[in-house]
Formats: sequence, structure tokens, C-alpha cells
Amino acid sequence: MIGNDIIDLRAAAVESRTHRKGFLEKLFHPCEIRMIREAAAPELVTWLLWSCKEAVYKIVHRNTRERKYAPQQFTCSIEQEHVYGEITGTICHNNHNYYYQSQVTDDYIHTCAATGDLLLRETAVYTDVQVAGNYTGFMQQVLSAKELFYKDEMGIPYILHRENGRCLPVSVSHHGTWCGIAKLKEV
Amino acid sequence: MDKETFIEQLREIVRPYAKNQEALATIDLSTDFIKDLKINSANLVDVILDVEEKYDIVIQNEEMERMLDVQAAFDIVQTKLSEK
Repeated sequence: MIGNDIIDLRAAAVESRTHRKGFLEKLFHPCEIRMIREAAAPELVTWLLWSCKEAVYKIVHRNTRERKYAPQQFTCSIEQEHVYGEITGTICHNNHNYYYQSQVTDDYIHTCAATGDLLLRETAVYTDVQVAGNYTGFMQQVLSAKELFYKDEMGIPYILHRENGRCLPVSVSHHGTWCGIAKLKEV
Repeated sequence: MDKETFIEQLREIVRPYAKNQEALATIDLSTDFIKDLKINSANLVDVILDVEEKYDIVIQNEEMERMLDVQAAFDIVQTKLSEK
């Protein structure tokens, strides 16, 4: 299973006061708060970790169909910071490890998580500016002519293949002026 | 505290975070913070912190978990206030 989350860093700076009392304590584990406080760019690490939690929440929600606001149940670790703003690591939830890959730019943080390392490598991640909160056009670019995007009764998104009838999960995220899509690569 | 008073006070708390400002007018116990008011999940913590400040209570993680709609917020605040 896959999940993605995008954070518009300009929108986040306006919408949230990460320095307010209790903000970090409610959302993050003590070990994550330490990572944030010791970071050269605490704000950026705050949003990186938050996007990780959100990406995995989408996977868990898809599986359990249970809505919960329990960000402390997801613990993130940063394993490697690559060049070109790419960060990889793992997220633990309910004794299960998830793998993530984040793209960090001046404008956004885009994180994609998967239930396995291999699955993460088989996932294609797309990022685009969204026009007036509408991602229909962007989705059309990402899909082939044979694929159809739809959401089930709980709002969980899928791609239906028109010819073989196969349904594959897809993850959509939008925030501020940015939109992210994660889907399995064509085989 | 009665339901009406709580809803009026909560409306003011969520106002700065609600992306759907029209839905604020019709807020009731069944209103969902994320689905109806379009509050960003990163701002839900602000609603929780503001509720804690307003009523001088501490909301535990297990309670925060289900604080997704007005009904849950009302139940949690009522219980906390009665324990005082």
C-alpha cells in the first residue's frame, strides 16, 4: 500500500505557529521533538516529520477505514539525506515499519510512503502546481487513456483500468498551491 | 454548559482555521472539523490547544484521537469540566 503527503511551505508558515506552546508536544514523540530542536532548520524538519506521519496515516486509514487523530502513534526516523533535497527513512506505526522518500525544495515537501522498500521504489511520484484547488487536469496527465480515477464511498481514491477491470490504489494530496500524486509504476 | 453555548464558543475557536467559512454558519453537533469545515489536519492541533486554553483543561492523547467532530469535542469538554 502507498500514501503521499505534500506540504506547501509558504502556506504552512502562514497557517501554523509551530512555536506555540504545546504544538510539538501534541504531534510529536519526545525523540522527534529532539530531532526538530537540534536541526539547523527546525521548521523544515517539523514539516518533514508531519508529512511522513500523514503519508503513513493514509495507508493505515485505507486498510482500517478508521479515522483517528493520533499523530504520536507514528514515529519517524531520518536515515539518509541525499543530494538534491531527497530524504529517506522509516516510520513505525503499531510495530510495523513503513518506508518513505521525501523531496524537499524551497517551496514544498513531498513525501511518499509505502509498506515495503521495494514497493516504494515501484511507486511513481508526481508533483505539480494546482490551479484553484482543482487537480483534475493534473490527474489526467498522470493517467493513461485506459485508466479512470475514482473515489469510493469513504473518499479513498483508486485507479480503474478500463480494459482489464483492475483497481489499483492511488494517493492524492493537496495543500496551498501544490498537489502530489503517488501511483504504482507501469509494469 | 449547555450545547448551544458550547457550539457558539467553538464556532469562534475554529473560525481562523476553517477553510469552508460558509459551513461555520450551520455548525452543529454533527459537524466534522475536517470533512465539513475543511480544517487542515495540521491545524486540528490548534483547535485542540485553543479548546484546552479556553476551558482550562488538558486533553489526553486518547481523547485527542477521536476529537474529529463537534460532538466529540463537546463530550470531552463536558467530561473534563465535570471532573473539576
